[in-house]
Amino acid sequence: MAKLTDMNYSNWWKYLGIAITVYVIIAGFLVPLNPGVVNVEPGRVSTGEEVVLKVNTYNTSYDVSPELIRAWLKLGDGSAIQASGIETTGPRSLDIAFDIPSQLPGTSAIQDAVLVIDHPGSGLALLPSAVFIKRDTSISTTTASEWTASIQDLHLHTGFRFPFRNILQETIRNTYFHVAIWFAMFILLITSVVYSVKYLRRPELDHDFIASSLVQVGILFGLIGIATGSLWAKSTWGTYWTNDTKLNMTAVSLLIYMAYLVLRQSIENEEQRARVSAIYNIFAFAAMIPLLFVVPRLNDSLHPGNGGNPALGGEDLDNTMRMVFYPAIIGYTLIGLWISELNLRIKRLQFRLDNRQYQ
Amino acid sequence: MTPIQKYKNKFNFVGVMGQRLCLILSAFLFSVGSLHAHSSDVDFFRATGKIYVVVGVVLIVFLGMVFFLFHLQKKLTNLEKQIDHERSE
Repeated sequence: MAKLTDMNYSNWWKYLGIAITVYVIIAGFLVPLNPGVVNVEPGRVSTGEEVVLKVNTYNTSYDVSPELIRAWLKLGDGSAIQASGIETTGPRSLDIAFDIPSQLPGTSAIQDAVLVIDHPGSGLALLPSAVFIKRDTSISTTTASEWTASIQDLHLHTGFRFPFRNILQETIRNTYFHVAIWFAMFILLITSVVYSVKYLRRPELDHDFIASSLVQVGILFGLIGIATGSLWAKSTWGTYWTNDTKLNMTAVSLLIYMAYLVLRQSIENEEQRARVSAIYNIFAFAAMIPLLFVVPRLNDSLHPGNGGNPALGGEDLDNTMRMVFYPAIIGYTLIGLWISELNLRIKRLQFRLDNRQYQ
Repeated sequence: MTPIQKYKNKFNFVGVMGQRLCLILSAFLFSVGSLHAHSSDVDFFRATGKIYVVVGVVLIVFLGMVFFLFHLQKKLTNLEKQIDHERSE
């Protein structure tokens, strides 16, 4: 029997994991967000109206040279009107006056308009569907379109900044902490399935130890993912849990994995326990893929990145976010592997102790 | 005195007291969080762009991992006890 100290546990990837995670926490917290529009009131106007929109913004400095602020309302077909007057009420609030023309291009009676605010010092702030414009049929319309303003000379921020999403705001940074931990969990669980298959091909108890220690850390990451998501849901949706498809399916797949732990506890014989739990692990993983990746996409979901589209596209994850998000996955995975290695070493020690093979 | 007992005595100061301290600290942090959440200032999170949610999320990730490390520590303590027990026989 080999000595315990003959086991070669390399350390470099642990330091790498720490370094990457420190980078993720620093970059994930310190990189500022782009400016954005938080809310606009009123949200409904009708044609031919003169309205003053009360606008609250984020990460802007409109008190510095306010005469350079320009604003537009842009319809879906690209036609726009420029603001007739802008009054700065603070660094993050504006009163913007618009003379809504008496006619609307196109045929639909209600159209939504994007609010575009440009300022050299702050950058470009947008709010999609900021205002819904209703056609007032009592006014006789002229044929010439008054939606003729052109939006140009915008001041786009070129630095390293995360996108501003109206509902998410700063919690878009949870992509690096909440979303990345789910990805790390998935990688840990895939690795454990590999070792479960290895055990079934060649029944060495060590494969079972590796697989089970990875599953345990995977479940830990899953529970962390649920808890962090729950905290975010409380602040955004006002409740810790909703009957959302994505949330429920995640809970189901975590419960399937919890049953793995119970199953292992209930079998005394080591070889039998290893074989049964290897088979169960493969089935649990096979059940998790449709539960996490297929079923939530078949239904509407409140969860960001869902409702038809995966989160790894469009503006939910732009290139600046990728520079933090992908390292976050690697960093969490390495730390998860580290914790599972400690778990594994305890299992190996326990096994040797129980079988009197340490002497 | 076995080497393991010597080791344990040397590092005993992080034992029970450390665990209690961690519990008190986390209870304090969570109570601070819930104070803010239930205060009359509904827009507390929104005024700061909800950055405190992100801080809370990172805290949960950290505490979750620490919780698991304590669980592993307990397993190791049991192994040490088992070895000590067998040596004394």
